[in-house]
Amino acid sequence: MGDDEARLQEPRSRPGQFAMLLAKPSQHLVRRPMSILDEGDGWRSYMVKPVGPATRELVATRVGDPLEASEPLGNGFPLPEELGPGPLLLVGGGFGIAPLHFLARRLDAMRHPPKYSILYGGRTARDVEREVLDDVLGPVLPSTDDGTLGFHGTCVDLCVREVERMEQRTASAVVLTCGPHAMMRALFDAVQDRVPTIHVSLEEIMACGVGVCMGCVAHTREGYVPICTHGPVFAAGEIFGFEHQLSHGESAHE
Amino acid sequence: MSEYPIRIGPVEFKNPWFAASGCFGYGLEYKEHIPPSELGAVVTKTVTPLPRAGNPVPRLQETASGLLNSIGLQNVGLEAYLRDKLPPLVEAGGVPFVSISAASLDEYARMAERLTEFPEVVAVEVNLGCPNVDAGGDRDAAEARAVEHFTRTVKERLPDRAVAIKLTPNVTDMVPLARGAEQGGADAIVAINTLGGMDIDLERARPTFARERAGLSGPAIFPVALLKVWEITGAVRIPVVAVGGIASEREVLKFFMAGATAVQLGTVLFSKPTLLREVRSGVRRFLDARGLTHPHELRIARARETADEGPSQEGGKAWVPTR
Ligand SMILES: Cc1cc2nc3c(=O)[nH]c(=O)nc-3n(C[C@H](O)[C@H](O)[C@H](O)COP(=O)(O)OP(=O)(O)OC[C@H]3O[C@@H](n4cnc5c(N)ncnc54)[C@H](O)[C@@H]3O)c2cc1C
Ligand SMILES: Cc1cc2nc3c(=O)[nH]c(=O)nc-3n(C[C@H](O)[C@H](O)[C@H](O)COP(=O)(O)O)c2cc1C
Ligand code: FES
Repeated sequence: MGDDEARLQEPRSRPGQFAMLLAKPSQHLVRRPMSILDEGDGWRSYMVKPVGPATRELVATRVGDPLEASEPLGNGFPLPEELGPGPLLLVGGGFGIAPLHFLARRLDAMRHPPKYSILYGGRTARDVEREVLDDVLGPVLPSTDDGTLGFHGTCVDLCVREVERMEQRTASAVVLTCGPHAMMRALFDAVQDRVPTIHVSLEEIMACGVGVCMGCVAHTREGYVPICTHGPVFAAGEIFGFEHQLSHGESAHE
Repeated sequence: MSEYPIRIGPVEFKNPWFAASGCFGYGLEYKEHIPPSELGAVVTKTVTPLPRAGNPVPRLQETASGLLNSIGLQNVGLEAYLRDKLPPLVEAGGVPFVSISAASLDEYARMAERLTEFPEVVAVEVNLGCPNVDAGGDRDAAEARAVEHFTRTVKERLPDRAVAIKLTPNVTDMVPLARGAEQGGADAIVAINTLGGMDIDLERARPTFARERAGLSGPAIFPVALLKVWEITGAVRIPVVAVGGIASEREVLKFFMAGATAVQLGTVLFSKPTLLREVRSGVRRFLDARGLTHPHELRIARARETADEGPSQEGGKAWVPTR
């Protein structure tokens, strides 16, 4: 393989990164953040849940339609070599599975893939789009709150079970998660004592995606920081340790 | 590249294309799309005497052709700005038009005095129009005499800089505020800041934003901004910098026809950071097609102009459309 070819195949975005998207043409003014689901030579895919007008426009586009799209943005998940030897638990709630799919694909492509499993939770079987993970090599453990598919319970409960199982055998697990805020918070509360490394991917309404508008902040030790540039992936302790210390906007004035 | 030079008070700018405060960060975040050196000036995110945390989330909500924001002037504070943000912008060839906001005359005086030590800050925009803070927000500056005092306090201390006063549209009539700024010695008026607006979260049955009130920007506010600019250019002799709802070169041309001296691109930059290029070539084409050489020649005559409220700038001759 020549040098050029190697460069062409060099991955362009990191799992956990997102792009700002709108259909083209669109009725809308600001692009919407979407996690990258997968990427290949000259294409990138997304998994869009139609929750409002701009996402409904996106869902109505077909493969190959033009999109208003930014470059890949944000930091992305840490790489296995930055995470230590423990097995990886990728915990996705609902559409939070998208960046974890990309991560699993990237792990599968490594010369020495680390051990990982995907825990994928939804309210019912209909919320778990199992086919999205068909091209992933690692084990997938679905969970549903009502027990219609896989583990009966939340993906938080499932994760606790997996962590306990692993503790008896290997180095402590690393948890990487993306999903509803309340789910990630519950997950942090449930496993933080046993899992030293937990990374969460946050969501907030965005306008610029590049740290200009200060619209998409999370509260951390440093105060409010833009999720689009400092995240969307954060060490969970950075976020959940400071959530209750929100300072009011006026306090900085004398 | 001084394509269409303009003058604001003691300062000449190489072109009338500015970035609006809060929509271009501290000047370098969009450098791949717009090198700051291509802008006549970069109006930086408003800085306050001390760092400000800003408001809780959510801070943004798109509306029909508009954007509501409740950022609350989150910024690093004047000292960190001068230390960390100003030098790289100057290094990159950007012209810093520093936006400041304070809660009292005293604080404005101290900020202005500090800025005298930084000659590279050639221009200062005094933000008297933010709807998203309590102290020093638009409601504290909704009165002509207050505007005059704030203006004089800053301008007296910065006689050799361009001092522009950014006003709120959230009043019955902006003209008295603009006259107050002119009386206080302002070199320019900047109009408009965001319009007060709100939203309600239907599911939670409560206001979307913690502060309830937010600021509306984007194409939805352009007709309002155009009217305000038109009214103000008809009432003051100092230059007016137009901002509000620019989405293409068409709005820019309309602002020039209404008598604006320069324009600021705001919300549009979030989804089209490259718009500057289109604006430039669009304006040039429009001028060329009419044999004009500078945007100020676009200023249109008004039927109701009085002798004492003539065009504010030399060269502002009325342009009669040829077609
Ligand atoms: C980094 C990041 C990655 C994301 N990845 C995906 C993804 O892979 N797939 C996917 O379907 N969605 C993803 N989202 C959420 C998506 O951006 C929002 O659902 C979308 O912006 C809603 O736009 P709308 O006009 O359709 O709905 P709106 O009418 O604007 O909003 C509908 C509801 O969604 C909430 N919402 C709006 N914008 C956001 C936002 N940016 N983040 C979270 N909630 C929001 C609103 O408060 C409202 O309750 C991601 C968000 C972020 C920040
Ligand atoms: C996210 C956001 C942040 C803003 N922050 C500031 C600010 O710090 N200071 C200020 O004077 N104006 C601020 N503005 C107002 C803009 O500078 C501009 O006056 C307004 O948005 C109207 O122009 P537009 O419709 O082109 O955006 C902000 C606007 C937005 C959308
Ligand atoms: S979306 Fe503008 S700062 Fe993050």
